[in-house]
Amino acid sequence: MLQPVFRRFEDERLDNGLRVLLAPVPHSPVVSTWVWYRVGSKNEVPGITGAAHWLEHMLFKGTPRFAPGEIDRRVLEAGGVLNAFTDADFTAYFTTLPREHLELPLQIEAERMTQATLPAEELDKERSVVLSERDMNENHPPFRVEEEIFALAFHQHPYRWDALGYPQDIQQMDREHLWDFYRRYYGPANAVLVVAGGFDPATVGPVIETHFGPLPRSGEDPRVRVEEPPQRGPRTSTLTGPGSTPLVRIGWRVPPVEDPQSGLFLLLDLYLGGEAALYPVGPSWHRPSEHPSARLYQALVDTGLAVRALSDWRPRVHSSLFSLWAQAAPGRGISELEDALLREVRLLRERRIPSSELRRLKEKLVRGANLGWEGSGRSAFRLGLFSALGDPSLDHRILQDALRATPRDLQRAASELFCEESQNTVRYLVSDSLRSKSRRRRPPRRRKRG
Amino acid sequence: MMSETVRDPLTLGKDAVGQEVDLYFQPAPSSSQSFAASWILLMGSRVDPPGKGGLTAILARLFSAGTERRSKRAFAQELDRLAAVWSSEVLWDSLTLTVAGPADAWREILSLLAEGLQQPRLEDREVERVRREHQEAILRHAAEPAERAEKEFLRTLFPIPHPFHADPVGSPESLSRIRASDVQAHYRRHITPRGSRLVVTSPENPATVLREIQEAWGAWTGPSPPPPLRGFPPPRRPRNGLEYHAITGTREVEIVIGGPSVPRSSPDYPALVLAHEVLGGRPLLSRLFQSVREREGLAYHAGSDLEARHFAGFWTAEAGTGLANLERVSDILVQEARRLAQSEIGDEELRRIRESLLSSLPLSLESTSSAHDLAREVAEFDLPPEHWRRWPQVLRAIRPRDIRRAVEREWFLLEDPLQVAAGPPRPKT
Repeated sequence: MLQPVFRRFEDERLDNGLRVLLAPVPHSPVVSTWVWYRVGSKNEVPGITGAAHWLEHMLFKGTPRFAPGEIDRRVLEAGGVLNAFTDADFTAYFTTLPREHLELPLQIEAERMTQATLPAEELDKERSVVLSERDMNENHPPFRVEEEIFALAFHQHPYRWDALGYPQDIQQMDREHLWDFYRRYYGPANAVLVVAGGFDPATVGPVIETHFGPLPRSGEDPRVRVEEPPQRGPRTSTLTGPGSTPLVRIGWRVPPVEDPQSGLFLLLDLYLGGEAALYPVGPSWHRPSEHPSARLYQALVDTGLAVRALSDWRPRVHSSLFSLWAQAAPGRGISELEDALLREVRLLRERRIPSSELRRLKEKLVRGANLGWEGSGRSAFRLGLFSALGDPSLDHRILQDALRATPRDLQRAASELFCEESQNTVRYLVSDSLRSKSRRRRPPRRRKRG
Repeated sequence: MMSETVRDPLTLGKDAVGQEVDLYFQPAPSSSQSFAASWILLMGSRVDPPGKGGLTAILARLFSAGTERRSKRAFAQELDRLAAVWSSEVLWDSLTLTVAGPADAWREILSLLAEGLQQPRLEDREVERVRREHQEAILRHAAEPAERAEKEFLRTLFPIPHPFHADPVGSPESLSRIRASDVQAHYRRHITPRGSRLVVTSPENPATVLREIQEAWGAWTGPSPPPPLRGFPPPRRPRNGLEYHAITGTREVEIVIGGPSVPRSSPDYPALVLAHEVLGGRPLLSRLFQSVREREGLAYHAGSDLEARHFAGFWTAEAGTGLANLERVSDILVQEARRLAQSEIGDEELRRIRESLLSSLPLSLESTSSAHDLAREVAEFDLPPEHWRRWPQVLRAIRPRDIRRAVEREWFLLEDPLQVAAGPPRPKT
């Protein structure tokens, strides 16, 4: 059996609590530098939803040494790319640039960690920008469905809102809210610095110490104490809006990523949808939009019910969702889709996946995971993601657990996961106004005489 | 001729295989462990028969949907086993199939590409499936402001039968007319090794790769490729003002302004690339990003695009914003585009944008994926094999006045560009 490979990296901790992971990539002409903060929308409370994401935007707006816009300008002039993203569990900032400019992102990230200025004059402009980002996402039905299914499944835990936050909260927050959030959670004790690429760790270590070593220990423990109570019955919600054809998403609660069953959820995701988000198949580009070898594809797309059918297991620090979704083929109804998805999970509970099929899945998983180390950016992303979710060793553990799984293990995991009591269904229907407009465009039908 | 000394991903080796296939070989970056191959044929949706728009796009999806040797499922399982991915792209004037995966599986991956291309099944049920998927895509694009604005922009600017007018995916009506027999006939008539290009990015020795390709591709024969496109109608002059498409239930307005431009072969192309980078192409540094997002906070995204195909091109500036800011943002897009012709770009601004563009080239040389994209461009547009090696020199020779002149000459309608927007219904005044 093919075995997974792991990139060698050095793992150190500075006195102020900053964890530093260094992963040299031989012969690489670039260096990718990431800082992952273990803080995201899960650390918000009602009234300040969207704060973590808005703050992420504001951290490009200046520090004592970098005036607003200068971070972007300096990195781009050095031939680099930079960006950031905010999730429920973490916020990550990254820069990838030619290796001779390695020190620049280290200077930037060290300043950004504790000395961002959040200038008041930039705040309102950026408020409009984050609202515009939210509106842009709302133009896409899958975003609306995703937001709704988390709101349906979680009533207490902060996973119930999206990292983009509610527009009403973004409208009324002020600088103090963002500043409090920044002072509370940003700091070396809450962050992981990952550097991957063409460098020598022996020479980079002292540079990191120079920039990050003097920072005082700060960053409050971001663990969330709220526990979502058990779900006591199926929940359903129906949305209407613009779009092409109806869409349905059904989700069930899964344990946190630390749970020993995570390797099994990974395989279920791969079996049903054809791709595991943690270990995408193949290189990072031209990612296939369809997986004809996957179970849901065969059951829904090959049969003409749907134009796409996928699964989604997104491991999180706290209990999250495993979901299936499908978009109807033109002329097909939403109840057919829902029935077909539920039939597939019933089959998983009732029958074991053949051993030969499981062997193929494992091979696909390992090859995909091994290719996932290609490039400095992807290597740094992978190390940082698992660190932000708990520890970089999770990567190894989840993969090994998956490789040990038997058909019986998968059947047991499916039986526990897909129970009706914790089922959440979101149906998305295309609004009548759009359908009636489409109808008006067609020429009127002639009635047959006689 | 390819030689074993070619180890620079910016300099391609070129050779011929069998019946007029041009092979472009690019050494994979030394830190990469993957392999990629693309097959390019200069046909695309322009060869769709009248009334059957979308035929090439359907055919393109069927090359991985089963072959004479393997069912669709077996083909997919073989791709899975190799951890390889397959993709297809149809534009107005090109069809590209790409397959990529681990470097140690390069022989099997190349062989799958040849098998899918040379022996596709083209079954009725698969034609039906792809038709359904494309019908849904057309409905989706009509309901999403960004897609809708872009498609309406092209439809308005380029009259029938200009190739840009028609969506390569087709229309609901044209898709409903296509039968499996049409797809099979289209394959026989147009899919050919003659005049096609095979682009390979691999850490293997080029001579070894060439031998393997000769074996799998050397005996393949086919018809003549379609002649270059000539004689299409000129673009339309737009009516004054903004063309607005209301989509009930959407939140953000997407605006596209622009006009026709020149093909990729134009000598002005490098200067136009710099004009586009200054206007909106360079992320975060461009004029549009700086004015629309950074200075005024009016939108999340604002940028520009430069499409230069074999037969013609177009330029655009785009942004997404709220209804309340629609007019302000479209004014900025128009003003910033006009400014390129009204005054020369400052030396310092040009230096900053150009050097940012050029110094990011090493980023493309880390992974097979980004290096392969560079090689594909060389192959598709018949550029010299050392094009990317020379590119910095070409861009550094361009002066601000060259850009201004090129824009004046080749970005048509710059003074009065077509303006199209799509988004939520506007309140009645």
